[in-house]
Amino acid sequence: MRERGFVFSLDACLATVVMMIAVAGVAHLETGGTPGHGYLKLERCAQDALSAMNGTGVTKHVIDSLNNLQYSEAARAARENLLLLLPPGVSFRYTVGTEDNLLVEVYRDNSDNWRGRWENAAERALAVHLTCEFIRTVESLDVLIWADDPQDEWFASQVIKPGWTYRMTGSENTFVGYLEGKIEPNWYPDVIFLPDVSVYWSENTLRRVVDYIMFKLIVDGRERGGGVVVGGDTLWSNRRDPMISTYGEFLLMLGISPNPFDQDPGIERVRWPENSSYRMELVDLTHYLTTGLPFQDVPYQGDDYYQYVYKTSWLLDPWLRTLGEWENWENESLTWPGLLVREVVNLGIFGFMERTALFNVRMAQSSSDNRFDHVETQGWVTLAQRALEWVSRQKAELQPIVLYVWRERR
Amino acid sequence: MKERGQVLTLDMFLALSLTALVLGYSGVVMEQVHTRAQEEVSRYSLERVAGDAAEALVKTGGLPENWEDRPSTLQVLGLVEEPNVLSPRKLVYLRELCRSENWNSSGPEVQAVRRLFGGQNFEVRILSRSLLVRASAAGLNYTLNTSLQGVGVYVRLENLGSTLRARVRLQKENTVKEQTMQGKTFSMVVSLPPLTVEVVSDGKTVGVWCEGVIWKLWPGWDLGGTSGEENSVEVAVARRSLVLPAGEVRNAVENRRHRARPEPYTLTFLVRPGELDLFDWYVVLFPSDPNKPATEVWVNRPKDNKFDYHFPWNTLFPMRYHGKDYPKVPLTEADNGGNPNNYLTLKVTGSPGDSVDVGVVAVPRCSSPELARQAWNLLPAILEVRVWR
Repeated sequence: MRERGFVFSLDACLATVVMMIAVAGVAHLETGGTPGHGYLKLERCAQDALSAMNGTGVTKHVIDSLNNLQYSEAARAARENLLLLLPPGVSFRYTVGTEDNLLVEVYRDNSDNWRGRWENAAERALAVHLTCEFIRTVESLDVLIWADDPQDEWFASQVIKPGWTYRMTGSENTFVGYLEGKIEPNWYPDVIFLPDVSVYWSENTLRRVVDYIMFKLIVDGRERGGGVVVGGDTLWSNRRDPMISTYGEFLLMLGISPNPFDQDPGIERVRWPENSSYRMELVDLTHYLTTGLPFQDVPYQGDDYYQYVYKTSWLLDPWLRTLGEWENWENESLTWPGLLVREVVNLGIFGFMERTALFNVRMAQSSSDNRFDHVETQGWVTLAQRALEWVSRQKAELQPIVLYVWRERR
Repeated sequence: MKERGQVLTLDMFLALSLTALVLGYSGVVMEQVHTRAQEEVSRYSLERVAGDAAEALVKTGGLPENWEDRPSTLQVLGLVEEPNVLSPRKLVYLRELCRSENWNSSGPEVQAVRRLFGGQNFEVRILSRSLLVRASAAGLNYTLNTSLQGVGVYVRLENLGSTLRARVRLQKENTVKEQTMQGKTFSMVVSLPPLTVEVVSDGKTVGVWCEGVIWKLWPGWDLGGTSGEENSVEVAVARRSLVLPAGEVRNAVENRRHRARPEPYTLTFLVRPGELDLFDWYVVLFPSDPNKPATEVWVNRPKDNKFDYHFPWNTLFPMRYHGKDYPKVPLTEADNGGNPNNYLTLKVTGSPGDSVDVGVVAVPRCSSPELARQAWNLLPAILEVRVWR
């Protein structure tokens, strides 16, 4: 048998392969080098940019623009300043608000697949800043109030804070005229307050209010709108077939289910048994409306005035929060929602739904009742004031400002 | 069969060759790795020094916080009033410390500065940065012809169909810097001190940025020339964004207007001992109308027939610039127990509807006078630290 040399044996081949791997490893080590500290630079770059935007007043301008619903102005200011403050090779994404509710979102160039670009970036960093500027006193809120009886007028007068301007009416034509800018072109409401509408509104008035919430009202050639605070008889007085009228949309705006198979879709009217003194209990004290209040129970003259039991819409559930509840005297295992707030809903191409707050009681009538003392009235007044501030978005929760920066992989 | 010694087998020969090859290559590679590692560590350490020095400068006021009041007490250098807001006063005192006659290596304050920069050579610059234009590449046809910080700037951006073309021309006196770039994506930098223009195209948009040096300092900067970093093979640069108050408003009065019997108004202000030569001092006027109201200003003296300054001649008047006094009675830095030691006398005449705001502004010595006018604003700026061996 012919014996081949060792070099052709399996052992030799394996040894050679191992050797080559070792050599390749060393060679790789030689070419690899040590990593730089680009991340550190980028992180500092992002933090500096946010600090400089704060220092030069750009952040405040962005927030003021957002408070005034000038979204494109906020985006323009943010982008132009970030282009100035960040080096040309650095891509960025700047956001105000939480990811599920972004008030503004700005990129250096386009937003195509930003997450993929972020994840595949050669280097990336993040800077976060909380907007304490949102928490500031609302000094000049403009409120449009529907008041069709003296109790509504009295309650509204208690709610209006010094420095706020308001227009109060119980006439549909005037009300719609204010919304369309036909009565006072230079006055436009930041928020609508409907403490207790006892009038059956025309379809046109309902449509104007829904358009206001959805920013479809065209005033001075611009889409204008804002938030709405609703209470009392408003929904009950205007109930009608939700399938053939704007009423269904109005219910949805407030977070109520417009179930067409119910006789009174989404609403039930109840009155407390005589001589009972039930109170609404504030159950969520983490919201702007309820946080830091000196009371947790709000008394109501429920044996004289109706309250309304609402069925909330599962569709809007992610945006709804029940801040106040009532004990259900018909079925003690269930509670009735008393104060319902809905966060902004961005429907993309289908529109935008501004904030709403819905009270389920005739708080104006109950508060003006002479059996109530001042302290008891003040609870409803404070809640209504806070609701107006919150839906106006002039005074909102802390919103995060996040700046993502990255260098694209070449 | 002829049997040769085992040491002479082909296998042994190949094994020895292979081993020698591997050992030899490994030796070369190890040496390269070692050299490379040393270079990387050296580079990294230099970059780290620059980065950390910049971090300390833009995030802290130094130790002690008010070291500029007594520079000899300086232990750790810092240049800001609050994070990312530059203090022109601290910068001025650092610049003073870096003067050739003050840069004494045995001084504790100089050692504190040297420590921050790891004992390396350094230069600190404050730059202004502005976005001249950012336009979509589609249908691009843009021309800019202007003057910035004494440099003539010409920028031409064109979309030629399949490519984009950018042309930048900078001119200062007889010196011209010009560059043209063509393509879809490109980056071009044209520099003519104190200005740098950068054009970046990503194919979809074209942006033109402009950077100008506002202040720069290094040990011995007053001797002129450059810091010497251009002769070094290894320079680490760290840049940080910050907010720049362009100057200090020492006192101001708003809405001065003509009254029935105009009484001269006295505006007092303080020049602390030692500050006179560290700053340039200006009177800045902001009239409500381009030509009204007529405003006369006397410095450190009451009203007489011969004022020092008059509007509508100008709205920016130097009281002391580059160490030279302009008014009849010069400014003083005599100690007045911390109370104002200088004053302006103002007389405003015209229609009662016209008003003027008047301020006294101090900007670091030999700065561009335009900064004095912007002393009320906070400007975005860049702090650049350069470190080299």
